[in-house]
Amino acid sequence: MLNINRRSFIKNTAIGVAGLSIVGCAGKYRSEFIPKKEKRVIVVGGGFGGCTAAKYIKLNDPSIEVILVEKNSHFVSCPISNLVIVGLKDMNYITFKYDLLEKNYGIKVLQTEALELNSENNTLITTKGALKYDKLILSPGVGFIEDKSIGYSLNLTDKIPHAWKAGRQTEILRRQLSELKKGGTVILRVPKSPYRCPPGPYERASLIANFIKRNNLGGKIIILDSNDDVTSKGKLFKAAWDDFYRRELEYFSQVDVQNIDTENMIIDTNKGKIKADIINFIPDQKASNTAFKLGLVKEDKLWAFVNSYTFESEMVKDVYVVGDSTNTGSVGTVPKSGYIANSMGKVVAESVVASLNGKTPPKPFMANACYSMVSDTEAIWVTAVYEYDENTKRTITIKGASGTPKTRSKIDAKHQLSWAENIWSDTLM
Amino acid sequence: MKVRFIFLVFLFLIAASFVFAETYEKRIVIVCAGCHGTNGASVGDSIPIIGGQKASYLKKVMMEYKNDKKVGSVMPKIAKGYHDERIDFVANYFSNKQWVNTNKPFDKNLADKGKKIADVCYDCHGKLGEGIEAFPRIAGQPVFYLKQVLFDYKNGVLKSDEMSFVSEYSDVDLEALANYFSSIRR
Ligand SMILES: Cc1cc2nc3c(=O)[nH]c(=O)nc-3n(C[C@H](O)[C@H](O)[C@H](O)COP(=O)(O)OP(=O)(O)OC[C@H]3O[C@@H](n4cnc5c(N)ncnc54)[C@H](O)[C@@H]3O)c2cc1C
Repeated sequence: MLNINRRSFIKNTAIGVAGLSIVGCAGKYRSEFIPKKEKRVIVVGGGFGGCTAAKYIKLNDPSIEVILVEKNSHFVSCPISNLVIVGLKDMNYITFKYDLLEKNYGIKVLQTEALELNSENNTLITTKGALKYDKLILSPGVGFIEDKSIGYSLNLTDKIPHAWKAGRQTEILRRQLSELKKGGTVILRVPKSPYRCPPGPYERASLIANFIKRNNLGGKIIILDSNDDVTSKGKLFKAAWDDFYRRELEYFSQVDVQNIDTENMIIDTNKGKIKADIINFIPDQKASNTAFKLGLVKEDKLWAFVNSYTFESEMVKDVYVVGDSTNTGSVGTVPKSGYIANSMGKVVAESVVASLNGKTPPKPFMANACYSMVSDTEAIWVTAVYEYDENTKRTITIKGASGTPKTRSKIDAKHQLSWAENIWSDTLM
Repeated sequence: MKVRFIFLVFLFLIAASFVFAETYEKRIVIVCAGCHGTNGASVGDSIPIIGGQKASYLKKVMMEYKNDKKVGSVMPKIAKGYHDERIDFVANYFSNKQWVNTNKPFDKNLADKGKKIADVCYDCHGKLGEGIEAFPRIAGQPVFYLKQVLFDYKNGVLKSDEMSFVSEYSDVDLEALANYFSSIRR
């Protein structure tokens, strides 16, 4: 199945690239948009990794010109989006403008899409024109894998939203849930690891079960997990499900979805057929399409391999990749999370600033702290600290400095929001 | 001439190693900003501001977390990633940052009430809650955080001789104290 996925996916990418070069040849996109004068770093992707990199480059060396290329006008945070879906928070709580990066640090924020890379003469082609760079950093997030063989295409996402990229999809799923009829069934499919935010699907399922219970809907949520078991904070999630949601939540592991009939809302699996009112199908993931288009993913691979010390791409010189698009194995033992993308943003900022100034950057050091709600009032977490290890040439977990709490708590629910407000401020303000 | 040259090289090496130490030090501590805000200026109300906090307090707390002498959320785990030199980095770095007061609101009536009983705190935290050596600055921290800490001492979640006085105060008094010290924003 994975092979079919990969082949059909690679075909799509090839078409994408061919299409682009026709656009590129039209000329308009190739003329230089903002002429380069001083040392310049371009950052593609205004998410956790990209904004942090842009900001910390300016903090480390304000003389470097930094241009942030982002296709959307606003940043919408995936962290806390599960709370928005169940109505505990509003969209505006997780939506931000980019203006403070411009105002506070002098970063040029360009709302445009990066289309193509001309690595021989360090030029990035965007919808607004060509931009020359000394260093190019990408943090373009994840891409989603279509699987036509089971009837799953990304065209269907308005009907069966994944909401694994916050924004429009978050709103659709929120609306669907608010209209869930009494006794209704929600299916949530957990993608095959690795995907962004390992505990995210289980947090969402817990909150949907809580929503069903709080509103006395008498319905249920069924988790169809394609993995062998809950991939993160397993014991803690299962304890909460046992204590709170025996009626509202059913969990199945090792599920292969064999067909999705969106007309009749029926999912066919290796364990049987299920009819649902809402299907939250979270597809398998890979590096963002942007990483493929720009030639940063090796043939037959799904993620961008990087040098674990500098984050420079293994494929293209002067181009760096951070955040979810990286092959985490090439980095070390880190998960795909917003906190890690923020940490990587700081490491890559030091890496390119040092390189532009003829210095060696310090060894990578990163951390992760991630909270998940298990009900409307209680949360759990997972945390770790990582350092660069000379032997393995990877950034690995420091012994003893990682783990989960003994149990869920109300104060950790409070910490989740404080955590979010702080990481948003460290990334965007 | 030669001596002078060697001396210059020597100076240069000192300067270079200083710069390197500074970047290395920074490297170790800026990850904290993901939870505590850039330069430790936390904007979340349950996570304390650490930028501009007393160095000896930061050091003491990190050691306590590391040695499981203090309970907390993620910090007892995270502190284990910081050997003693790194704990010094954290304390140096953040204590040298400018203090930025919380932007979270406080209750004026409760703050007035708190002011009347606040002198019990002055010996350790200073008349303006500014902190004295290993006793932390509490002025301008978020109300929620201060209240939580006081309640944790009262309920025995956190233990300290100096803070044992809280058992003689009602919850409302403690809330008033939290509001008073949070209201001092200078
Ligand atoms: C439901 C959910 C909950 C989560 N909760 C947490 C949590 O509690 N804690 C945590 O740490 N993490 C959490 N995460 C994970 C976190 O959201 C991601 O790990 C993080 O967003 C990764 O950052 P990034 O910079 O790699 O990508 P993103 O933040 O996705 O940013 C990528 C950006 O690049 C832009 N872009 C892409 N291609 C182009 C192009 N060609 N031109 C211009 N712009 C482009 C995109 O528009 C986007 O803005 C959660 C994720 C989900 C889905």
